[in-house]
Amino acid sequence: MAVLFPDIQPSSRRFAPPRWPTSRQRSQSGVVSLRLWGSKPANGELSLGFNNIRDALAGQIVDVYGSAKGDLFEVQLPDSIFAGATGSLLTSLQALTQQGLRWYFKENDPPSVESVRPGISTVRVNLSLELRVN
Amino acid sequence: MSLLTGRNGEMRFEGVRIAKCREFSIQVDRDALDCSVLGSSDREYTEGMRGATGSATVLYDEDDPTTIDLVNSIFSDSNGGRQIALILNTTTNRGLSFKALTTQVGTPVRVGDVTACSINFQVTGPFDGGF
Repeated sequence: MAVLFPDIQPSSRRFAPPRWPTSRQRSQSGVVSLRLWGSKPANGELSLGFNNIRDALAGQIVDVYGSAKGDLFEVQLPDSIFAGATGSLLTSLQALTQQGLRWYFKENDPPSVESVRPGISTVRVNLSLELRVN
Repeated sequence: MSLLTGRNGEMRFEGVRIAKCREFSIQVDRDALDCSVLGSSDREYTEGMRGATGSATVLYDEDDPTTIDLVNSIFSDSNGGRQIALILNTTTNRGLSFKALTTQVGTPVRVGDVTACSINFQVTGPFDGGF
């Protein structure tokens, strides 16, 4: 099951690409050897900030977290989440899910909602890009 | 054209006119909350919280209990502020009314000068009326 994230453009976005599963050994002589344990990278991170948005939109984000049962179900991100990214960065961001990776809410990290004034809130969302066995 | 001057103005404290108010001013501010989004080149804002501060200078008149009450309101620890009205036009009663906390009172006394008190206040809560 997948849940669709609301079609809102974020005010800020921070992305860390998925990491390759490697292990590192350093010998007594100082020589480093690395071993690759998989054919795909995983565990990317995406932090989104929605500054001063209407409470109705903030509620939609909270509802998505509930529908996704926390970090259990996949969250599908609309193109608006990547607004402002262009060129090869946009291509890279959109291609992530074509490699079998899926977005989920970060474990034990629900959206945080800061009420700014009546009707206006600031929401922070942290997502994790994971490779899961269905 | 009907321009107003200081002669048309009046300051009221708890609904009673201050006998000898030399001047008053008020500055109403409103926060502009940035709600710009990625993908846009222009900043966008939405209304934030509103607040106001003001000041007044009143002549120290011992025979006017309202003036004395206003000046001594700095020593009051009552919660919620006291009612102040700044009337721009006494004929139409147009002006701002609000509750305010007195935040500063100063009384310089000089040889050859009338003793006057400068008062600063912080508005608390909503406004009645308008400019």
